[in-house]
Amino acid sequence: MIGYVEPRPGIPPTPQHTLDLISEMKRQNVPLVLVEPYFDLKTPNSIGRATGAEVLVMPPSVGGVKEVTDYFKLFDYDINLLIGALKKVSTASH
Amino acid sequence: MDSATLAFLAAPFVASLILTGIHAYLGVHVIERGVIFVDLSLAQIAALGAAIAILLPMTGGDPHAPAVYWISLGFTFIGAAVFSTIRGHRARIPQEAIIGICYAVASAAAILAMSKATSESEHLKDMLVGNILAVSWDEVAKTAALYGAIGIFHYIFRKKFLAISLDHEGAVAQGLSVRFWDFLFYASFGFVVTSSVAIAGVLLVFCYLIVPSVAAMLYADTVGRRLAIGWTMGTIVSAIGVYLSLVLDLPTGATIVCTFGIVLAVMAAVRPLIRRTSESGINRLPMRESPVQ
Repeated sequence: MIGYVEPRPGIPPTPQHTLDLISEMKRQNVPLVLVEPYFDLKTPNSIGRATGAEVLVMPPSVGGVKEVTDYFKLFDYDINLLIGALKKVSTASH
Repeated sequence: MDSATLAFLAAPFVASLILTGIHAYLGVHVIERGVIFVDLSLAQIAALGAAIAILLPMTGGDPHAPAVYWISLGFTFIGAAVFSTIRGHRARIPQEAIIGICYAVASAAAILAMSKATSESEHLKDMLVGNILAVSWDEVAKTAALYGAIGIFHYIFRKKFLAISLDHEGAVAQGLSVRFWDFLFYASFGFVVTSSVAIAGVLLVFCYLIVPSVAAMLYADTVGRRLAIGWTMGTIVSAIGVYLSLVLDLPTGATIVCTFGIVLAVMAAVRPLIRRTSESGINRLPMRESPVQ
């Protein structure tokens, strides 16, 4: 975890913050932007476009997705999402 | 400013110029008609359309399905039809009352629809929130094409639109089909506002619509001059706002909105000084004289 898209939830990030985040992500080759389902995707998507990182929406709690009915399934589900997204990024970069 | 910063801010700045172009023009109409909050109302009606579309089986609850866009647009047109009939009754009820009622009911109905949606309804509340920094070149190009087309449409029929906005009774007396042209006005307006709000959010769109036009009315009476002043002010304020948000490290949209407020206040404060120094011209013209007569 190297930084936040929206450091103060609900307040749009400043241009300088977004620029710093993009350059840091490029420098460290950060592959993923994680988003909770109830946040708007416009800003994360624009950062994804600028850095080539994959934007991944992950449910943070049980019931966020139909098949996630208990805590264990939540972790299985999220880990599978992460693996899928990382595979996608690594095949895209080769 | 280095090149990475310039490249990052280029798309938002061009987007703000496109917003200035169409909204400063539509703002002249909106102020002459006295329907100041019609943009908020139409944007909310469009959001209600999207909320209802998501409930329908044909979209499968996907907020990005094409049907959602078309149903939302259909609701905008229904709103346009309502707003085109609320005038001309010589009634005691002000148009703004109806516009306010539509806003409140559409907001509440959207909440009701979202409460019944099974998934993804959380994104609907974001329809009225935009971050102009996040705009892509793709969106800028699409918006420019759409607004260009609507601008041409308004330019072709400018005499009719202006006649109705500036002198409603006169237009009726001339035998213009006012309701039909009002519907076209509100429908094209709804088209524009719905796309703008998705890019820039309601606050910023409201400012681009109303402030340049009000500022221009301080200094000019003819529509041509008001447009020239409005466009100039919108462009300068956009540039200052984007620049300030960068150097002061503030959110861009809110910074542009506050810059609009400050520049308008300065323009209003300077006006008496200019009036005193100028011998003729501006000061002798009454503020609300209609140029089309």
